[in-house]
Amino acid sequence: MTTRLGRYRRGTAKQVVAVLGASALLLAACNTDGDTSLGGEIDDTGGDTGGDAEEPGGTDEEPVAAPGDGEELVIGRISALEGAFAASAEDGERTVQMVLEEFGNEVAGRPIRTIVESSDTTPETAVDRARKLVEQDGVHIIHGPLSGGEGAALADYAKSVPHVTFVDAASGGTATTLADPSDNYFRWHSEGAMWTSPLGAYTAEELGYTNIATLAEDYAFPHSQVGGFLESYCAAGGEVAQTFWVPLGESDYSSVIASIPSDIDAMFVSVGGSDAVDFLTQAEEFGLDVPIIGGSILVTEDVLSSEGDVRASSDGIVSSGPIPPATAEIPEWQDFQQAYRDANPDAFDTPTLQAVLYYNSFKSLLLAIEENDGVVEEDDGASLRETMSNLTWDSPIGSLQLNENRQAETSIFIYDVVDDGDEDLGTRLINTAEGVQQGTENWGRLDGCP
Amino acid sequence: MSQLIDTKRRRTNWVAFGIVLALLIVFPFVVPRPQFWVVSVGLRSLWLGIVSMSLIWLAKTTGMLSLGQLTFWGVSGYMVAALSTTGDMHYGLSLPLAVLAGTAVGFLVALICVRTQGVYFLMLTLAVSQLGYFLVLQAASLTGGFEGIGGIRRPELFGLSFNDRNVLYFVALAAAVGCYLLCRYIARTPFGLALEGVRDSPERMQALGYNVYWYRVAAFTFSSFLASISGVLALFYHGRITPGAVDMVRSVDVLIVSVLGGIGSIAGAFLGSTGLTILQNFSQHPAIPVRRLTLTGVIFVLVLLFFPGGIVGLSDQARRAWTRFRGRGETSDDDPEQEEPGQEAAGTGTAAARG
Repeated sequence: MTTRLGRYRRGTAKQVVAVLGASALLLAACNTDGDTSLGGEIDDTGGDTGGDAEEPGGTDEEPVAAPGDGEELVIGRISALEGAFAASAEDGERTVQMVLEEFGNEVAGRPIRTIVESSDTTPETAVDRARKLVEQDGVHIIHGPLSGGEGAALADYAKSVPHVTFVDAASGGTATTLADPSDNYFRWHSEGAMWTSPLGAYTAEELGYTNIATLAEDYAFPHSQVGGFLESYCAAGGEVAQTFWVPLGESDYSSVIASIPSDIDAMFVSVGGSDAVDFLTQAEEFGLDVPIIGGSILVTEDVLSSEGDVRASSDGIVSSGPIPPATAEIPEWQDFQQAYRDANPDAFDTPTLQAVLYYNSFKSLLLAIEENDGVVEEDDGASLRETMSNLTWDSPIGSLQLNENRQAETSIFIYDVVDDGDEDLGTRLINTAEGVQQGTENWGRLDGCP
Repeated sequence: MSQLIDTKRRRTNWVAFGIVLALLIVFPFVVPRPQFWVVSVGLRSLWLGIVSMSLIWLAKTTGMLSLGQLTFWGVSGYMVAALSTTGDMHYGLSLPLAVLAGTAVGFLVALICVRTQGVYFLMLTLAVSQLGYFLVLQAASLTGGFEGIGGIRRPELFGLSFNDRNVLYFVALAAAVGCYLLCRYIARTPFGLALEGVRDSPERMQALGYNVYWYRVAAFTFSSFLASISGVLALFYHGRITPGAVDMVRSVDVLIVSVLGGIGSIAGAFLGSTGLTILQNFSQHPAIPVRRLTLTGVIFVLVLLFFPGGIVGLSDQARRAWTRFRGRGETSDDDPEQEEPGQEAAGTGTAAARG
């Protein structure tokens, strides 16, 4: 560490050579940009209009395309291919590919090219990727992200680039479309609080659990899940003994499991991805013996078919979410699963929740573009967004349309996990809650009944 | 004779520095797609370079390799955000306060950490940075938890708005140049020379009457001061601050930047930060089959194994490899600073393995 450093103390000239070489690569023909705004977030309380949220105009050097003349359409995609949800994000790639194949890799006569940027569930990375897509690659459409925290940050960023249309891939944080929603941010699936709201009432009324504890990851999406769950659960008379919060990516649940009160009826757990696998294996190891009510990504396909020993603790978990369980007798849903299996014989038996949402959101995007005759860039996406706001179509999980916050409201399916003797655990539909609406609360971190 | 060479070399260095500075000044005006290059590459490289420079300066001057620089970076960033966004404090007050707070935290951490050495120091500073991460994640009422504090209103100074990317770029550039010059200046003060003595032989310095412990504390505090400045700039770059900015991956990023640029060179910090920023922005090219994180890790390992001097040391390394190749084992005499025999053998071994 010490003497080897000494050799490099001199030689700034050599540093210059390195820098000059790099600069030579960077300095290309001049094309100065008149507008130099950073496009920062708007702060409503400031009331200051100077310099906020201007369009980074003039960055587009794309040639103007007439509708349907075959001009390539570039779609930017941000997916959490790194981090706790990598498995689901990869599954999402498969279903997006299914959509592209359905459309023949083109829409309204325009060939499609996607640029996939990977994020890692942190908001900064998602915004950095979005900046790169918008400012370096010049995209007018962004499909993504996966994770709740990223969604909130991207919706914020969306306000500073109004010519870009954002279609949420799978993120479920409530704030994204509730707290001052952006005009150019669309979400074709319901959000976290909506997914657990019927489950709360079901837990108190049908299952008869009146004293529970909750465990969830400490970011936007699980905040919404716990919020939605507790709102209806507490309204139905249930009580909360304690709430536990762990960071996203937490792999050690021993201390949490040890601190769980012994007199509770059940435990509501909203963790997902690799965290879910870790929790379920450790629940078995450390002897968690209360029934578990699952959040929407606790016992999805990627978790149930994972390598860990989740069988014992997953059996009997009741959960709810926007997609039906694999065995549900809904024809379009069964057809879709079959198509998924045919296209991806080496993947899961049934698509993960995120993958289904990716499919629906990406297909909604392409359907809107098709209905808008491929007009995207010329009017800064205004007609596309108009078309998308009014679009309605039948997806594998039901009819989709958007409310006034550009947020979809779909049915929620309550299901439980069953051990039917197969190699992997299966799921069984218990109840369907139709037309669950977007709530009014922007759930933060709760420490008890709201 | 050596003094003459030294003066000439120093003059060359300053000329080189001037050229680089001139290039960096015209950069925003000649580069295509400035909204991307000035902001996502230029600005990011500058603040990332400053925090890496704090790591490199500390490692180079005192031999203490710290993985905790982002703690102080985070403290100052969060403080500005909390005071001026959630609160209503004027930036003229919150900015100095935040840098002061970051430095103060650095001082407190130093009091404990500098009692250890080597890998223990590294682990302790890593633990401190993780402490900082979990603190900002849990203290949701102060720091906004996972979502952090967003919607940062950028300030306006002397009629220049920080919302203008060129203004922010030049402020960052001025800060970077200022920090760099400060580091160079300190190296030539009695304080800086004493630090090098402490690095090379703390027992001898102690015997000479220098209070080694307080010198180390002072050095660590200075490096936390640099990191705090970077934290403020980064806050305006991102427009938000979340725990995701101070987690373990980001701490390791700072280390990667330092090694990539050249852990023996302060200016190398900026080369490393530019390199990593460009890598992270362009690694999704279809021709590259691995994920960005994997690619970063692979490059880090490759640099550590085969290019220990980083980008800065590349020309030196090439020259030495060429000399070895030509001379077939003759050592070159014109290099006044020789490595220790053990390291020389290791270097030769690596070069021979490659060549």
